[in-house]
Amino acid sequence: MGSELLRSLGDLISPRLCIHCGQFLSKDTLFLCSECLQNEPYLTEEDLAATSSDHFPDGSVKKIFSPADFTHDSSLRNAVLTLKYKDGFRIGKYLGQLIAQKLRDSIIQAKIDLIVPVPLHRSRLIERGYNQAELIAYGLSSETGIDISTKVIKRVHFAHRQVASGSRDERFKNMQGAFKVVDTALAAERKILLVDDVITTGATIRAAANSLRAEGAAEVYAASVLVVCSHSFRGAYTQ
Amino acid sequence: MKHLRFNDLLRFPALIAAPGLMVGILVNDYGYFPLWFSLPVSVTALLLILIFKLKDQNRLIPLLALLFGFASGAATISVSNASFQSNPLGKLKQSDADITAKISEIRVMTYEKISFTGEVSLIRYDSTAVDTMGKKRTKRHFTVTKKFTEPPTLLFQIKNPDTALYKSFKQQLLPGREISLQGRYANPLNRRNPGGFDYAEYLKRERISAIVYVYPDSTYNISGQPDLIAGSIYSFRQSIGDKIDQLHDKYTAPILKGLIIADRSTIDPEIMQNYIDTGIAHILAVSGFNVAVIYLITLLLFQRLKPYSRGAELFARILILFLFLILTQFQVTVVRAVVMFSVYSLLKYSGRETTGWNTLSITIILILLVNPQDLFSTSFQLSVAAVVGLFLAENIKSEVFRVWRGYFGEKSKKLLVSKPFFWVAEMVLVTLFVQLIMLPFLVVYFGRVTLLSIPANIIAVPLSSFMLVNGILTLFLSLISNFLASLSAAVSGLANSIIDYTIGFLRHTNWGTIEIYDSTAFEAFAFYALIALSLILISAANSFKKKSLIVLATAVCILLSHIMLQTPLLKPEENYIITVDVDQGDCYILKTASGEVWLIDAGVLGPTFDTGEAIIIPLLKRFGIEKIQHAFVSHYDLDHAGGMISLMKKGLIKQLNLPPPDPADTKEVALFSILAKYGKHKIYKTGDLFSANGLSLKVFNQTPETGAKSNSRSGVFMVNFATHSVLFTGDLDRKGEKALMETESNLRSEILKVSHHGSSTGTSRALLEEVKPAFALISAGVGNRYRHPSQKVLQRLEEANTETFRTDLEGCIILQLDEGSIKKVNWR
Repeated sequence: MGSELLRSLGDLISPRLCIHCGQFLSKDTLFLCSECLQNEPYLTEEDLAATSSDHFPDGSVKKIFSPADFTHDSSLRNAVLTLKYKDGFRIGKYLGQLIAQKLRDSIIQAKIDLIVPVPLHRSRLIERGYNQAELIAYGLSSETGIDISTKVIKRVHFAHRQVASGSRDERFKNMQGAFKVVDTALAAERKILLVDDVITTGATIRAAANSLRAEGAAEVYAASVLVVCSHSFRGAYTQ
Repeated sequence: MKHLRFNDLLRFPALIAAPGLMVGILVNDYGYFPLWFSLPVSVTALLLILIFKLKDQNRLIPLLALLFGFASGAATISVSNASFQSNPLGKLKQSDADITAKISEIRVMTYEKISFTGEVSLIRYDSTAVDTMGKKRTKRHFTVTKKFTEPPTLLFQIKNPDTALYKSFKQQLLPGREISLQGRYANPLNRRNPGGFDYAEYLKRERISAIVYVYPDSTYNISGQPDLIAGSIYSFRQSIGDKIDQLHDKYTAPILKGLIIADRSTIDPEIMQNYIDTGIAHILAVSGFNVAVIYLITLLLFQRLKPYSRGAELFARILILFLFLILTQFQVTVVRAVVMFSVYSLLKYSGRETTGWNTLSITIILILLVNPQDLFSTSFQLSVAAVVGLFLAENIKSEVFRVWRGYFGEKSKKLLVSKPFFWVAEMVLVTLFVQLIMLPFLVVYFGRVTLLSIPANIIAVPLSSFMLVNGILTLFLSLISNFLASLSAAVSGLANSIIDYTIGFLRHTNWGTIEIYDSTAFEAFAFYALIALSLILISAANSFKKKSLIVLATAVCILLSHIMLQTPLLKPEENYIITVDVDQGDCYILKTASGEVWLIDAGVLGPTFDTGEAIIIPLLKRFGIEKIQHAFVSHYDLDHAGGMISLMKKGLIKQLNLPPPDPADTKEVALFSILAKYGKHKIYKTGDLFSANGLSLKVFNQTPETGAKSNSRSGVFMVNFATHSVLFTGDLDRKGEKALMETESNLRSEILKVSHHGSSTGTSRALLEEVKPAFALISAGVGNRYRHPSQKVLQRLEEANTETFRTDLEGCIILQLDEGSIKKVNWR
């Protein structure tokens, strides 16, 4: 009730608008209006399974938990961009909760022990002020009740922004050795869910997963707000 | 952020409440709505808004927001106005007085002027009463002592203090201490000349009840402890100012003091005028621009804090902004910018991406609720108008650039679609829009708008933001190494001289400048209405061509309405004699029904003030006078001949008539050669007669005798026009008067221009016997150091049954000379 009162007061001073379409948000919607959320290109279980094996043919990551496809007019894409590049740090937790709400059953089924957000390099962390993956992971954790740890892995070398550059192999080479497991005790014998904002080629996740598995992690899963799904992904990267 | 449509605006209560608040303040400044009415209305409206919002019922909120804005504006202005004492000494307008006051704020501390405000606890002044005993009326002078329980704030001014006084005041004057001194207490006049600056209004908005012109020879006593907070802030400001002075050259230091601590008092008036005339005074006004630079510095400074605590980072950032606010003594432009940045950051922190318009509205509401008087402050108005212009430019920019790209992108003219080109184009567009929205204010306050501001801004804005950052850096460097600091100071100096050179050059080209001195409030209102209408039409129009047509039509309408709304102050078919208020100096304009305009003397040229440029030229424009046929200089003192130089330079005078300079007096010879350099001139002598179209002027008292004082040799003019006669006696002293009366037999005149600002050196009883004036004109500065006009002279005039008009009491005096009668024109 208290937070609702505060939100109403806040709306009086400065009404909230949908990040995607600019419509006024009603009292109990956050960040994205229900219409925009409805029109998302959500993925089915089959889509996800196909995408997982497409991205990780080596089985380094067992399964991807991503509610929607990465397309250009997606409202979630807009939300992620705001989170990453427009200082919209409050959206992180919301997006994490959204992942959990959409894929709750399959996440619970996987019996995951620990959520680990993909870390940022320290210089990027200072530049942005926060790790967006960590914020998403918090939301995911709060909704599913699974423990979270940011102390398992660390990013050791700085990669340049790779939102739209390079082929999958190039990216993977670029990412190799980027992560180092700091707390092996936490990783050993456990089912770990790696969380990132977007999975484009899977290079980052694969690099992190390989480091974790090398230190004895039982199984590695991946979660993200958006994933470049196999069909759209083929169109974009197989030329 | 998406562009908002008109309907969307209704969803932002602040966007509606802010204009409502401003209207409420404007309307209730006249006190229509009492507090017992406005306050409950405002509180009820606010409560209703809250209730409706909690129930998610949004339909009535815009209306309630408007009501809340209006009522709270009305309430806050009436509370603020009630606490102000407009006439602390009752009906008394001016008097010499002994005053004890607690110093509140030191405003100017230079060799030319010291000025500070103080809360007056005790004032002892002279008053007069008229006793009537039968038919006999006698004036009785007595001293009144008044103590205040609710002390009014007075402004104290000392012009040209001597070095000893300056040094001791600079050391001892601190906020919170008590001072007692003597000076001339004066209720401020609203305008001293037609079209002039409304000083009384300005002081009222600053909560200042009256002015005390401190006599430079006053004895004074400063005692007591300084106020802990205000005193230390002042001392801190002083020490920063001194440090800046010490590190930089004498041209750069005053500008940097303006940029960093908002202390503009030491900037050379000529340079200040360069900034104003080229439309970049906003840089020196410590505006959003400076705060934006500080804001960017804080962003860089606290970035490392972010991963640990965003709350702490936000707090640290806002704290720095508020420290800057304290350092600049809460100047309203800085308040505007700091509150706006804070509101923006807080909203952003709470996860609300908001529009600039909404942020601006919230800022306006916050500021005006605390101090509604700010609405009347020039700086606040210009500052808000500038932000509105900026936002409009931002909204329109993308569309203009898109059309531009569409047109030139095809024609492979790389330069016209390159990045640097768009950077410059953006600056041009922003400057244009800011100027457009500020236009009515610029016209009212500065009498001019100029396109020069476009090149001036493009060059000066980056350079002065560099100067601001580098200036702060230099201050920190000086803590480590004086050598490094002086290197860095030299770089600032270079930047400053580039700005100086550029704007000095631009100003003298005078390109793209329109001067308007006769605007009205109604015109300003019409202007904004037209702009608003055309903006609505533009948003409705669907092609670029239609939009351009609407802009063009708006411009034509504005020009036409300006021409049609002009109101002449002087009727062309009447005769006038105008005593211009040039402070301690002389300047008279004679205008006949036939359109002939003559000028006698032109006021002061001092180190910081040129009457010709600052008062007479704008006044002539206000009167619609383009050319002066004959100008006369009575003698070569700077308070009579000084202002003539800039009038000659501007080519406003057809023929300048000068007295023969004394070859033994080098100053006179020098001034003569300067004046003679700029145009047609003639040396007059006794007996010369000038006449044209019903106006004639005869010269007396020009004997080629040398060695006498310049005042004794003052040219005396007998002017005849419209059946009236006026005697101008310059600065004539007793000796000169005697000589005059010996040589001239008939000196009878209806109007006498009293010699030497009413000094007791002239205007003897004998002269008054000869002239027998019905009216007397005295031009003297309020609270001038010579205490002109002298009580003796005033008494003699009264005994001679002469009605006296004084510029120190009533500002500019316009007398209309009709056939057989003379009447005073009320121009206020």
